[in-house]
Amino acid sequence: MRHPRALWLPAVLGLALVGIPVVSLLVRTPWSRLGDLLGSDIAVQALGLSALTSLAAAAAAFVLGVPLAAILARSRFRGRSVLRALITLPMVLPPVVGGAALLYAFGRRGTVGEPIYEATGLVLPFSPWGVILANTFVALPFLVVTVEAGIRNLDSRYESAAATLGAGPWTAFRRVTLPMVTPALLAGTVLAWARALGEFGATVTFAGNLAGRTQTLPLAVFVALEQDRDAALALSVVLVAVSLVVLVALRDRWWTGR
Amino acid sequence: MKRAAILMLVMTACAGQSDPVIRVSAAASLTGVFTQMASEYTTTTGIEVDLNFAGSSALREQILEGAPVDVYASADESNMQRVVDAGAATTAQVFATNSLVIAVPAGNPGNVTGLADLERPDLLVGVCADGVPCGDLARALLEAAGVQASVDTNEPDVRALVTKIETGELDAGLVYRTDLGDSLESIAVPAHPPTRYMLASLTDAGGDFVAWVRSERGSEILRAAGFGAP
Amino acid sequence: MTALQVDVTAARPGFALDVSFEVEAGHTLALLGPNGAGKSTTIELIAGLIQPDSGRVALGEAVFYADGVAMPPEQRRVGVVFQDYVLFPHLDVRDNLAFGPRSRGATNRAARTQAETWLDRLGLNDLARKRPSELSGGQAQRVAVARALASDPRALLLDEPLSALDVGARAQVRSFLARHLKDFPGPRIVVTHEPTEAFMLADRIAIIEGGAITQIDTPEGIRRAPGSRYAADLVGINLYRGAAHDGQVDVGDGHTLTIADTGVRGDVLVTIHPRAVGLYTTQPEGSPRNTWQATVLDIQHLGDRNRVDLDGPLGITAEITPAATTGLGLAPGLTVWISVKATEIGVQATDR
Repeated sequence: MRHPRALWLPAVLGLALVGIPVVSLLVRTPWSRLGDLLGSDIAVQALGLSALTSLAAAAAAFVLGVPLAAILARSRFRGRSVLRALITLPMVLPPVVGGAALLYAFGRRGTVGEPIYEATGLVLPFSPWGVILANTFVALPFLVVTVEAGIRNLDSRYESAAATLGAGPWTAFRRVTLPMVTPALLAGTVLAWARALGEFGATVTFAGNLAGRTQTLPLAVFVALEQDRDAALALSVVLVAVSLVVLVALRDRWWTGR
Repeated sequence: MKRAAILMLVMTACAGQSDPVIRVSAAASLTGVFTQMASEYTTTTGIEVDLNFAGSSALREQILEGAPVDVYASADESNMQRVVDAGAATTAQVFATNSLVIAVPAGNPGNVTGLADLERPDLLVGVCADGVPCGDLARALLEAAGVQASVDTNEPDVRALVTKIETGELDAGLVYRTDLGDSLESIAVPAHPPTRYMLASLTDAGGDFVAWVRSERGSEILRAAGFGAP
Repeated sequence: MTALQVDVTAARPGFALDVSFEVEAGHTLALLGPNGAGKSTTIELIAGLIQPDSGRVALGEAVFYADGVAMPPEQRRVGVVFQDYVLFPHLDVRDNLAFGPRSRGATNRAARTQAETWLDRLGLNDLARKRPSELSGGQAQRVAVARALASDPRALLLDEPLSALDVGARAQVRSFLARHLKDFPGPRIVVTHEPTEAFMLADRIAIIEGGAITQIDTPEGIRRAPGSRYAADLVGINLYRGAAHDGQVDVGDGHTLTIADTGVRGDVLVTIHPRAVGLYTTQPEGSPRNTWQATVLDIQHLGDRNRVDLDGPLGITAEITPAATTGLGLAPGLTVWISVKATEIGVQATDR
């Protein structure tokens, strides 16, 4: 295809805007000390905690998000667009605002958190559960949007055919709908996981910051930035590497769920 | 007609550029006092003051990376020292001191009586993070007192910590006396070397503001807020 | 066995559907009509994929719809074959067939065995492990029929089963259906807009136009007495079966027609449009190869055209203007000469 000349300059500038900071980061990284830096207690704890909480958040987003996406895609009730707007809210809300909202809801003095605390003594903030909750909050919309698009694009006649063959709604969903939107399921889950991994604002506001309990990779980078620049760079490189691997693996299945 | 319009446009732009502005980077715990001081300074001198509040270490990094700052006010000596060592400032002086207290939500729901209580695992306790002066001071204090506090969070700045105590999400935290505000109660801690706030002018433009802070009026404001004398 | 009874109304964009008919077990009814007449809507109503505004749908004792209460489609045991197959792309042919039995609770193994039985019965074994994307149109549609049959339905609905196929596949699948439909014990409905399909596959034809059924009768009955202009145009066509060879077709009783296509051989379907039939009082000379004598049985007046039903070695219907009718002095009992040009005779092979 022949691209109009006028497109090249803005395209290159766009690429530079994204590429140069990443390259600068990689250039400043103390590659020779990487092993030591990543082996420190703080780093190991942050890596482990991030791995655990991001995967848990992705799983939670899947369990909650797929049914939600299915209902949004196939139902026709009034207020559906309002519901969809609500679900996608965490995507546009500044993460810190999200964290504050979570605190007001699930904190010890929160709307839902207080009764739970009084009854069971369970405290969500300042614990890994709080991290998972905050991460799921920001990651869920990514999964819902992707999977909903996938199901919406699916010809509903397959589900009709399944019904004529004797499959009830749940059977049809399980054996026809879900298998046919596997690419969207995969893309949505991976996106949700990547978002959870990189989450900072909501996590630090809601769950706090304590090494080994709530200090995920992004938090560790933030704190290290002012103390031990090299450590911050080393941890940053890990995040960049993981993100790149994820995006390359997804390739062009990004949003279309094809 | 057209030429006159263009001329006016250019003059306004230039005029905008020649208005003097003093850019001040100050530690988060100085938010209240410096905001007040800056406003009075502008009223008196007509010079605008641009305020930037953050953790002292974050501000230090910005200065070392080349941020255009006229005045730097840090909450401890080590951060200021690094700025001086880098040649960004020539001299720095102590202009206020601050000490720690245990802050608890109104009503003291955790029944905190002293430092030793911070060891209780059932209490949700917060301090400032590593490298933030408030946090470093807290850790030094706890160590000196031989207390193994069960800390639940190391907040990246003292204002975030204060907010969490105010809303009752934390039962107690070690904060500056000046951060108490109206809604928090305080519990005294053993005497300890206070943190020394350093002030330095990084450019000629900042010198006037520095002088104002160290003047009678400036000191009055600092004392009223609870800061100690240098 | 049980009969399928349909008596429903449904408002659709563009027309209002109001149909009432019955299909006996072991019989095939063709729903024949132009596009947009409501044929597919009727199928969807019977299958339970959409609901009517009022009426009743029942298969024997099982009431599918009555008084606003609808039985969900998965409980109706009505097999549907869609125009564009709708085979599940993520399952191979065998698992597509096994889907029905599995949905009803059969184990994986039992379902697959049942699938294999049907594949064998319908001669589709070598397609068993293929994916739908690897099948040609004709193969896919045959698999779709097999899938519907494998789910052990009590009635069978085919929605324009040949429309999406190319000409070659169409003949193939039509023969397949002709062979296997009659083995299905329950009621069957075939929706189509092609009269030849209706003639070949159905015992009775229901002509549906603008949401209403204008005529239900056997194919012969409709040819003899089309109930509407559409019926006359589409269905009132002369249709014969015969054996073709070297440009000739034996249509039974020793009568032979000369056709234009010298290459076709074997079993064929011959169509002659009534308009292509010329009538003469004396034996015509000239190019037409097919001429014979016949007796006028009946004359039907349809506005600006007359349909003349004729007896003879080959029963045929001709369409001429009222002026020509008068000019020839046509009346029942009169002997006339018939002439049909070979190029006006349509021939379709019925077996591949």
